[in-house]
Amino acid sequence: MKAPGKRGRRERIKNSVSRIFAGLVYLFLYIPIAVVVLFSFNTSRRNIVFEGFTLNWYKELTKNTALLEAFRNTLIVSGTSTVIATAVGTLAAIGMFRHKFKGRSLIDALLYIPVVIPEIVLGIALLSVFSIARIPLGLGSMILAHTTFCIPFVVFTVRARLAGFDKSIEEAAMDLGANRVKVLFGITLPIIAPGIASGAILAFTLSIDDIVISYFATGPSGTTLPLKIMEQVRAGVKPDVYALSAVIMLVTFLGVLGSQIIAYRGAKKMALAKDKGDL
Amino acid sequence: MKRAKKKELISLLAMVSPVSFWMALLIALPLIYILGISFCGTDEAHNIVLSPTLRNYARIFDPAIAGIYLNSLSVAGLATIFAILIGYPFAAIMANAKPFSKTLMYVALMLPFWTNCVIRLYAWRTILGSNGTLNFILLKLGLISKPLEIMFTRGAVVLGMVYTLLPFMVMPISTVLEKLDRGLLEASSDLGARPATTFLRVTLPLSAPGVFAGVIMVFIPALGFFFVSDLMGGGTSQLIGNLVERQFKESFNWPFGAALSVLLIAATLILVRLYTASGGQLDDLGAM
Amino acid sequence: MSRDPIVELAGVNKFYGENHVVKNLDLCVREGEFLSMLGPSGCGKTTTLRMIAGFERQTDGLITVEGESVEEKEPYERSVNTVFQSYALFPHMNVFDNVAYGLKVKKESKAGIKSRVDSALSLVRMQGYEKRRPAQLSGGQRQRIAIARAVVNNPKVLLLDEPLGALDMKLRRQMQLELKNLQKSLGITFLYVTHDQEEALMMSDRIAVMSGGVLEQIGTPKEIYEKPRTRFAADFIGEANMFEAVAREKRSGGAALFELESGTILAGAPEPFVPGEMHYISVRPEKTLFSSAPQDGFTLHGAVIEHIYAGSGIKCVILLPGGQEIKINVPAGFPAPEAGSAVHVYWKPGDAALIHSDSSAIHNTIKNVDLGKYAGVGHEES
Repeated sequence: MKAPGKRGRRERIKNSVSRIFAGLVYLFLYIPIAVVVLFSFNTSRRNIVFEGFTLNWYKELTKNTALLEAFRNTLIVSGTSTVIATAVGTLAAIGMFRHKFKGRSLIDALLYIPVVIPEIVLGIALLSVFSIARIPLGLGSMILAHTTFCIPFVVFTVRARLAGFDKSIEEAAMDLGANRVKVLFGITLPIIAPGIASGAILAFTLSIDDIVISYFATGPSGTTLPLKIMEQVRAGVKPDVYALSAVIMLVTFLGVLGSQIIAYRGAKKMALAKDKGDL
Repeated sequence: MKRAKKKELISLLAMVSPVSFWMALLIALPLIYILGISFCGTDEAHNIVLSPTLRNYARIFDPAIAGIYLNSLSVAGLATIFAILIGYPFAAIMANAKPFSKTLMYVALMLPFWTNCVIRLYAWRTILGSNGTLNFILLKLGLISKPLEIMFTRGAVVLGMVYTLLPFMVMPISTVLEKLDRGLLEASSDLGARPATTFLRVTLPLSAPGVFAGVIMVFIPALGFFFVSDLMGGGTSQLIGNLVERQFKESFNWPFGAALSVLLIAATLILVRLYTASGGQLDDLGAM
Repeated sequence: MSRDPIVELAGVNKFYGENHVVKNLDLCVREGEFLSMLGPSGCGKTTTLRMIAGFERQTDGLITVEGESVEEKEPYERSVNTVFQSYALFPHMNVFDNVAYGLKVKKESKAGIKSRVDSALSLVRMQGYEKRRPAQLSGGQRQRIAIARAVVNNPKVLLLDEPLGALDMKLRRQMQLELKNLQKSLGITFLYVTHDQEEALMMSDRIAVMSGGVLEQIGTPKEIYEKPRTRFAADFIGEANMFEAVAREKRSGGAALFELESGTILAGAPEPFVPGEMHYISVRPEKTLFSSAPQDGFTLHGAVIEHIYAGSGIKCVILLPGGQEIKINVPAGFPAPEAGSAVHVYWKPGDAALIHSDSSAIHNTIKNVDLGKYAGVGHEES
């Protein structure tokens, strides 16, 4: 079918302009990543011009125990903080959704603070508390710090999911004989699981990308990958860092792709079954 | 009735006491401490001494400090403006995309975050440095005779900020635009408004809370992101964040750093207050 | 019907802050009956149901199930089950798991669960849907699953909160019959909340009419419809022509002459008969008759201002000189007065329901207070 005259043409132009614009934005976002991947295969150790293809940096990477250790620390810090923040945040979101109680608005206010204030303020504030309480700086303090700024994001994401939750579903389960614990684990948590998952993913994303708060909470007992790279910046980053980043990107990309395919298939199956059901 | 009330109370306590304790000990307490020491002085050994003073706040009027403040505000302001100019149209495209493309666009927007921003910013150095890829190509093509100085300028710092914070502008705007009742746009066009008029008189005012949320999520971090200034500005463009960082990590003048932080908090609270007064929801700042 | 009480409420009050939503409610649900609580939204009927289920706690008063107070019992410890207005099916479980939920929580044997779920599903004619998710079912199908999920537990009482509220008219009528039959065959007590008076009249053994947190009247559908005891009950259930009437003189056959603003009428004589006492009199439009000649005792005369064709009959409105409008429903096939004509209005004295006026209600209250609380109890027993 031919698009009708002027309106159709205007629509088409609008669409192509949109596509080009979105494409340019993604180009802006992904150019550095492309550079990282590209130069991880570069024979020259100066990251200026691509001189030739090599896998040497990946071999180097396996020998760079300090870098790998920093990466392992990053995973430990982000993973642990995500788990704690998701547990604490999810419970809080459900508790605050179910009950009206005194002090609720105070908790709310405390939750908004880490979201809005500059990270650096939170960083120095936590550093102060660690020094008063004589908490040794290192992975433990970093986990405490990361969990603190991740909790609110989990609470808000889970809460957004709960907004559409029919309270009578919990009542129905109680009515059928389930006590509060059974209702929580058998009914409420499974239903809001997608919200909890996005809260956890958001927490992990923010934690793994964080530099400011880690910078203040770090100490001699262990450092994370971003901090390690910051240290190297002045002397120049070696391409084995690029190689590690490329590996991380590949794993992330595959993980996201996989989860999207599973989600998409699930939605499709659901839609198909629904079509049948409505006959 | 007592037994039931007790059970209710136990369930409430079990769910909200972890978050309450955590937030009290690691948010409320530290911030109160920072507020407290901002009125203290230090001795020669950099120990904090309890002697109520406003000296730390007065130092802000020191021209060198004031200069850093102004520079920081202009960097954050420019970054915010660019983020809106790029982020708004992008958010609109995303909000109007079909569900599948929308998910794809969202995932693609968040994916770079899984690679730490330090490494991504460092890659910009490779591209934009005076010996970098861009200059190499331009020189080879004969478009320029000597390398462009892009890195280590204020422009580079602004670019780094926009690059790091763009998704935080896009997300709140696209959330608002997605919820926008399409009937309103149709009504406007039905009443004789051209698309541009509909945008200016209907879409833009209704998406203002989203833009405002984006401004908070970009402008405030941009004041504090000292590492962007380190990586992209190489020390040429000092931010409030750099100043605060130095008080805690180099010159060990915690009270002065605390006073600077209190001012940052005050600026944040004013922005947030304006945001809620204009009808914005605080939850929208945290849920992505 | 003299079956044993299974649920009893005595002096139950519920406050939400300052808001008094259930006021000193006494209610007795008898074993095996279908009792509807009928009233407009906000009348306290759903709150009452939720207090029996245990989701809300009464501010004071006593609720007993099988003679035992449920005050200290959590919802999951009570022997009643609920069918929710929103169905509240578990979206993450299929139909089988939804229906089996209550049995699984009670740790029944696998085989026992299977056979009971099967029979519950066959009861609501939903076999073959075990593997479906709630999202894949239509509204009517979800409704059936919600019912199966509750009855599979053999509750002592099934509480239904506007269960048909979300269905369209046709499906609703069909489900009303099915529910009624289900209740008969299972013999379970149904306590049914609805704001649809037609539904309540069709399905119930007894109806409890509520308004503003107060139980207005409780009785069989016939009693409620034909002998409303309060103005609210007369007005809310069906249509009614309502008159403020002063008793004048007794007539033969248990009737009496009353005087209205715009004429005189006949109605059943109140007991005891007190000349000059004020009463409200309610007459259903389908019981209201018209004629061209005046009828004995009636002097209501007015102009027909509306004549509306309504399919199964004709609805007319007659304007009396005093300004009151009287509704008359004439079944299809019978002559109806033309618009603009003048007619006399009358009815059989036995078709008029006598409602004690507010002043007599106040009189009764004073009498009760004078005699004290225990006198009222004694009176009931005698």
